[in-house]
Amino acid sequence: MSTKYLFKNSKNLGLGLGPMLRRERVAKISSGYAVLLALAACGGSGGSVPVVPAPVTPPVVSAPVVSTPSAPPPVTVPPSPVSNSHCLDGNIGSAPGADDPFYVNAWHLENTGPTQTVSANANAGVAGIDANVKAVHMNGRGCTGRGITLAILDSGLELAHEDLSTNILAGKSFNFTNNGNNPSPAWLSFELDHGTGVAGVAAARGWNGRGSRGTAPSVSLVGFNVLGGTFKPSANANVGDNVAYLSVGASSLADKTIPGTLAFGTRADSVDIFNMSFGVDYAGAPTIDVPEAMHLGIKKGTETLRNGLGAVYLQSAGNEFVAMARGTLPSGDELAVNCGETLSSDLQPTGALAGSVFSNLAGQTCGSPNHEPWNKPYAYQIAAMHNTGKASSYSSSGASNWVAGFGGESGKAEAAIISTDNSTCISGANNVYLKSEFEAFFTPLVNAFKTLADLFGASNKDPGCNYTGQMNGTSAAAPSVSGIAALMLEANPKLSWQDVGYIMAKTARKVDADIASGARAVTFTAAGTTSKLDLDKPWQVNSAGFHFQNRYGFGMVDAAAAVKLARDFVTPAGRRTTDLTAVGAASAVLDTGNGAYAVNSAAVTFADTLAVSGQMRVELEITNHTGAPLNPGRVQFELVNNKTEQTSILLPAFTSWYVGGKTDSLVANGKQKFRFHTNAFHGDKLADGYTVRVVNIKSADANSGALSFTPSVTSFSL
Amino acid sequence: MYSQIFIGTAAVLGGLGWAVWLGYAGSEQPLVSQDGTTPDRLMPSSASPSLPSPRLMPTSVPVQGAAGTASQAAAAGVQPASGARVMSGEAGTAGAPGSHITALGLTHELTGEHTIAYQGQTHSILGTRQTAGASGTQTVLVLRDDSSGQIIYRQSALQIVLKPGQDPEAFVQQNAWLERRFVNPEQVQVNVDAAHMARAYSAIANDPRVVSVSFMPVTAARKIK
Repeated sequence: MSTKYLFKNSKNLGLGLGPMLRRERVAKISSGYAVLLALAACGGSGGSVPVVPAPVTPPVVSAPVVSTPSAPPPVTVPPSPVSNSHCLDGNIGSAPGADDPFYVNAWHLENTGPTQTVSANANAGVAGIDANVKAVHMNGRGCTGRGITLAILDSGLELAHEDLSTNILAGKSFNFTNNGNNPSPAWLSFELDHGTGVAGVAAARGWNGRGSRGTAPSVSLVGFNVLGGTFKPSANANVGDNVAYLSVGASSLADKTIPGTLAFGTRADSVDIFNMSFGVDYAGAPTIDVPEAMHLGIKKGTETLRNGLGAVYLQSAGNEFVAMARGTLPSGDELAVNCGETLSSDLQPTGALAGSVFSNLAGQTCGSPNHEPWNKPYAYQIAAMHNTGKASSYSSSGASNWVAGFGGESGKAEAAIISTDNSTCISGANNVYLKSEFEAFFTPLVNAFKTLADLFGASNKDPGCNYTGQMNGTSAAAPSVSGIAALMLEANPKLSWQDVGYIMAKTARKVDADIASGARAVTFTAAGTTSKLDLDKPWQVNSAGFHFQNRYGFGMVDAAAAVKLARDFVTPAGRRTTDLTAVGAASAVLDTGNGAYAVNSAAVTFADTLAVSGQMRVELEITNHTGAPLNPGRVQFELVNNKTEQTSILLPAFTSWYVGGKTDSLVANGKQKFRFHTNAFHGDKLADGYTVRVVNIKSADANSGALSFTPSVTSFSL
Repeated sequence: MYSQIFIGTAAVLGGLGWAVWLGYAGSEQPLVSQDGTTPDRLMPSSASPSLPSPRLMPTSVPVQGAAGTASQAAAAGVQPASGARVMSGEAGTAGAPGSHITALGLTHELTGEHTIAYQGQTHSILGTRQTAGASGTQTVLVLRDDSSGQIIYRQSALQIVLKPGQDPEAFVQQNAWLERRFVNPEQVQVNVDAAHMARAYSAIANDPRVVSVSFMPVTAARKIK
C-alpha cells in the first residue's frame, strides 16, 4: 500500500520522489530492524511468520502495546457449500459470528456520511456512496460469494492471513518464482503486499470478528504472483508469456516444455473470476502488430472456462489521471510524465501552445485505459470512486471504462479503503516503524470520533497490525467489483461473462452529474481561433438507455441492484455469437476551427442492419500527410453515432502521448496503427451508422493537418 | 489452427538451415487475423530501398543509410517539459562510426545492407539498442521505413503463423539457426541474431508453410495499479 500511494499521489509528492522516499523509508526501517525483531519476539500477530530470534540491540523507539491475538484458523478450511440461486432470500447457513471490527469504518461497504469514522483525518463522505452490499450480504446469510472462485493475479497473496485464510482454496494458488503452491510474500516486508491488500477488498472473511470485510466475504480465493517477482527461469524460454497464459486460465495455450506448466497444471481452469489490478502505462502509441499473450489467454478464458459461459475478467483502469511515474515509449524507454505540468509550461508565451486556452486543465486526463490496446473487450476496465461521490483523483478516464468501483484516496487527508495488510507488527505497511504515520491520521485532537479507527497495534481493533487503512487506487476498485461479480454468480451461476458485464452496466448508478459540463467543461481553444474542441463529454444516454461517461463508464457499481437483476436474468435481445466488423470508407478532410483543427473523418456502415452493438473497437492506420512531424498526442480520436450524433472520445488530445510524442513523433508520410475501444454505444443499433473522426490540432509549423486512414470498426455482442 | 513462430535475438544461422529455408518459393499467402489484428502481409524482400528525403528528419531522428553514414539528424528530439527521461544505455559505442548511433541509442550497429519488405514498405534494419525499464533490460531492434524515414522499434523477434498441419517443433528443429523460445498450438517463438534478421525474415516470409510473420513489439512492464 505504501508503494501505491507513494507512486500514485505524485501530484502531492512530486514525480520521481516516490521511489526516493521509499528508499529512505527502507533505510530508516533497517536502522530500526532490531526493534522490529524485538517486537516480534514480544508477540506480534502470529500468522505464518517464523520464529524470530531475540534481539541483540535494545529498542531505540518506544514499542507499542502489542497483544497476541488468537491464532488464525488453518489455511485449508473450505468455504461453505455452494448455495442455490436463492441466496437473496437470506436463509443461507447459520447465524453469523462476531461482527468485523472495521466494518463500521468501511465506507465502501456502507457509507453513512460525514460523521462516519473512516481511515482519514477528515471525511467529506456522502451517505450511500458505497457498494450497496448490505442488503445482499444479509448479515452473512444472503449472497456472499459462496461457491465462486476468485483468482487474484498480483504480486502475491498471504495465504495464512487471519482474515483471508478461511476463504483460501488449498493447493490452488501458485508461486511462479519457484513453481510452488504458496505465493505468500516474504515474511518480513516493509510494504503492503499488493496482492494481499487487493484480496482483502474482495474477499476478507466476514463475521469472524477480525478486520474488515470483502464485498464477497465468503468467496473462494486463489492467488497467482504474476507481478513484481522474478519468474523461475527456463533456458531459452519465454516464461513471461507462459505465466500469462497459465494465470488467466488458458493452460491449453501454455508451452508444455517450460517447467512451470506442468506444475501449474489446470488449477486456473476452475476459476470463475480473475482480478487484475495492474496494467501498462504508455507515454506513446504502442505497437499493435500482434496481440499480447495475456490478451489471447483472456479471450480463450471467456470462450472455454465455466463450461463455456466464460470467466469474468476485471482489470484496473489505471491511476494516471494526473500523471504517470514511468510511461513506456515505443522505443522501450520510459518517461516520467506529468501532463498538467507539461501543458502549463507549453501554455507560456514561448511555449508550444502559447495563446491557446484549456477551460479546465485539472479536468483533463493524462492516462487512459485506452492507451493499453489489449485485453478488451474480454476484461472489463474498472475506474475508482471516492466516498464523496466523485471519481478518485487519480482514476484514469477513458471510453473503455466499464463501471466504477471503490478506491478512495490516500488514507491520510481523505479516506482510503481498509483492507488486509501483511501479518504482524513487523511487516507490511502497517508496521511498528510506521506507527506515527498511521497514528497521525487518527489523533483524537483532530476528531474525537476517530480514536477507534486507529489501525495500529495499540488499537483494540487491530492488535496484530494485520490491516491497513491506506489501500487505494483502481487496484482497490477492481476487487471491489470482482467481489460483486461473485455475488452475482452465486445468485445465478448460469450467467455468462457478458451477462455479468451487461447487468453491471444496466444497474450502475449515475454519479457526479455535472462532470465535464458547465463550469466543469473540458475544452481546448487553439490560439487564433474561438472554436472550442471538447476534450471530454458530459454524461450521455445512448439510444438503448445506457448512460455513459468516460470517467465512470456506466457509473458506480450497485451490488444490490446487480444481484437482484442477476437472479432472474433473461439474456437481452440482440445477443449474438459472432463479432461484426465493418471497414469504413477512406477518410476525407473537413477543416474546421478557423484552420486550427483539421477534422479527418471516415464513415463506417455495417452490413447487418438488424444487429445491436455491445462494446466497439476502432482500428486504423494513419498516414501523416501534413508535411511535418505529427505528435500523436495532438490528435483526438472519436467515434460518432450518425443517427443520435452521440460522440465517444476514444482518446482525447493532450494525454501522456502528447508528452511522449515530443520525442517519438510520426514523420511526414509515416504510418502508425492505432487501436481503441468504447463502451458508449452499448445497445445501439448498428444500422445507425458511425463515423470515425480524427481531429488533428495543428501545430504552428504544420500545414494542411491532413491525415489519411481507412478505419475498421468491430462491434462485439452486448 | 495455425502455428506462429517467434524469432528473436540470439540464434545462429546454420548454413544448411539457410539452404533449406531459402529454397522455398515465395507465394501469396492467405492472411489470418488473430482477434481482428491484421497480420503482416507476406511480401518478398526488396533489395533496393529508397533513401528518405532529407526533409523527413524530425524529432524521431531517422537515419540515412544503414552502413554507417553519418546522419545529419543527430540532434536529439524535443525533451519533455517535465520529468527526467529514464534512459537506457546509450553508451558502449563511443567512437563508433556514425553519429546516428548516438542519436538512436544504438548499441550495436549493423553494417552492410539489411532490408526487408515489412508491412508493405521497405525497411532497413539499422541495429539494436538496449533499453532498461521496469521489465528489465531488453535488446530492441531498430528499423527504418525507407519511404518515410520513420524509425520503428521491435524486439529482435518474429511471430509466425504456420499453415494447418505444420509441426511447429519440427519447423524450429529443422533450422539450427533458430533459437526456440516458446511453442504452443498456435504459435512458436524463436530468436535470431539481429545481423541475420533481414535474411531470416525474408526467408520465412517466402516459406510456403508460413501464413504470416510479424516482428514482436517491445515489451512494456505491467505495473500494479
